[in-house]
Amino acid sequence: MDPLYRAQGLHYSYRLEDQEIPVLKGVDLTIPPGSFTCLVGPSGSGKTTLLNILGLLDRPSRGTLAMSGQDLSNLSEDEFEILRLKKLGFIFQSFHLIPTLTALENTAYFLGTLGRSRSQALERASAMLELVGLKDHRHKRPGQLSSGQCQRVAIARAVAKGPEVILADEPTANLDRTTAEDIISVFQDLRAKEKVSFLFATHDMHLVSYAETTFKLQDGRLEPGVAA
Amino acid sequence: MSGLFFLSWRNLFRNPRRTAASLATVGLGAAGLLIYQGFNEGIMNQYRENVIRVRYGHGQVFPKGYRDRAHGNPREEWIKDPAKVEKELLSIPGVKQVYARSSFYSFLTKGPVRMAAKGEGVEWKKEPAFFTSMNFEEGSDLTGPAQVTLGRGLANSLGAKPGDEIRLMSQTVTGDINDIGVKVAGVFHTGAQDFDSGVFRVDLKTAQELLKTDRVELFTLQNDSIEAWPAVSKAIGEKLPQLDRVPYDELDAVYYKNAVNFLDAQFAFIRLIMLLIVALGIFNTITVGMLERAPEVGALRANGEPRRRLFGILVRENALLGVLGGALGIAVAVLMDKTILRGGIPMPPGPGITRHFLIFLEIQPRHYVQAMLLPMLATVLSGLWPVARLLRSGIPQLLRP
Repeated sequence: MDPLYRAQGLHYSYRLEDQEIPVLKGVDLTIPPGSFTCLVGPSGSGKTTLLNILGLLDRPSRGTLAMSGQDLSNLSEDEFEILRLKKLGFIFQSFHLIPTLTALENTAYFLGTLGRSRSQALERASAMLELVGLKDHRHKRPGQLSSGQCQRVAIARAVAKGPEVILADEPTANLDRTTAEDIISVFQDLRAKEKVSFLFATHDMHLVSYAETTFKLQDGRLEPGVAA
Repeated sequence: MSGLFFLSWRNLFRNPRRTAASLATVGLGAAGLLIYQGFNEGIMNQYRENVIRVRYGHGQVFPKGYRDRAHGNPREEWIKDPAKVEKELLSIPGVKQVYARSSFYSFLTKGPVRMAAKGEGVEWKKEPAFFTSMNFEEGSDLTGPAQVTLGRGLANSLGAKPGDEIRLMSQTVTGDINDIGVKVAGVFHTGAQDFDSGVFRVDLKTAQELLKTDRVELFTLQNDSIEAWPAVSKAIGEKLPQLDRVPYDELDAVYYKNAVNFLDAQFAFIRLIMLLIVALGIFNTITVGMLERAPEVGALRANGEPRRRLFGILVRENALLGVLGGALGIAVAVLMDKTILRGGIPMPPGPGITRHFLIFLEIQPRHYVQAMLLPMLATVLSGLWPVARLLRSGIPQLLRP
């Protein structure tokens, strides 16, 4: 079976005035499907940049990246959009839910984009909210929910479309310890029930303790021998 | 499609105070546009009514080529057998009534005062029913054959008032001089200076007797409606090819048609200015509202929401804002029309007009459509730049706190 991700020699740099600032300096990694993986490292080490590249939000300056055996080097922005819609789900530290929609409508959002009928989308969204423990809150708007509940809605929204992998940038950073524990157990439940992989960029060592594989980035490079 | 409208609609209310401020800006612009259009229409319609109901009816028919060139003896060109022509004109669908007329120049003498003026022979029994805007300041319209009505300026020059005797002296069709005595029935004030200071009206038969002719110069037409003219004109052309047909706006081209064209051009420019004011007025509000949603849009795009679909949602949202603002503007304009503007807007005399008048807003169905569409265009245009910026920026850039 093809790995979920295979990256070779990934470099990424950006320009600041006339200077080229390297962020990733040759990253090689392989992530198997169905895994629970963390990217760790100090601030500025390149975790978010690597997550963005793996999430098809950005392109490497050099190197190759394949997802489920498909080389992504020559895909257009429209093709990236389709892959992100069908194969990837994103969760963010600040949730970024739509404040005017209810939890149910937020969860059903991308199912509409995928062409599901409204009734199908709401049915699936309802099931997802039940999975994340928000069945009784589905008609509330984000402003009426706690941070932990908002993050659960964001997770339900990302998972509802049936992606291969969920990528999350510091998903527990805005949550207290108890809520973060709850969220981590939600991730594990979903991984078991929805057969979805998880890839986190995080500082949260508690979350890292649940990971099967951890990659540690240091100064734009993976530290040798850390992946486990 | 309805899903996108649903999302756009809900997005409108994410910041009710900001939406209310935008709606107020757009609504006031739309109300201003509508009131200005209604005002313009009111001016033109009142002037048109005046033109139709004082002088020209919906149009006039003349002997072929009569108006196009000078004639040695124009009265020889006049319409023969007017009773037969009148009957044929009345048989044309859309023609409600016809009024025979003849104009001539004459001296008017009252005591020692003698003046030259243009006379119009009219059918005194028929005309008052339709030509209702003569505005008699003293006395009344013609009520009998041996009477005359005078424009205010002419009456003032002659020092004449209702009941006074005046003698009319004119040249007959054979070149002889003839005169008759008439009694002043009334003094009119139409507001058109040239008409009021140089025209008098007498009974058509009296004029024919004075001129010694049984012909008439023209027929003025009263149609079922203003819109009936093209069909009526076409039918007359087929049935009475010896006649030229001229609509009221061409007969009064100097004032009416030119004024319509002038006001239309002026309105087009003002409409553009208003559109720009509304667009600039809400540009900042829309831009701030859009750009502060950058992380949310970034999250949607990260999850695969196509830019095309997002464009549709955001543009619809701005369009809805414009339509709602337009609807609010219409409500404000209608409310003003029914309350503070109900008694009309007092206006000073216009060019060539000597009396003050009141303008009533005459808002037409097409104005309502325009009051909805133009604000929509303004809000969509105002939102294009921030929407383009949200959709063209890189996703990591949008997600950056």
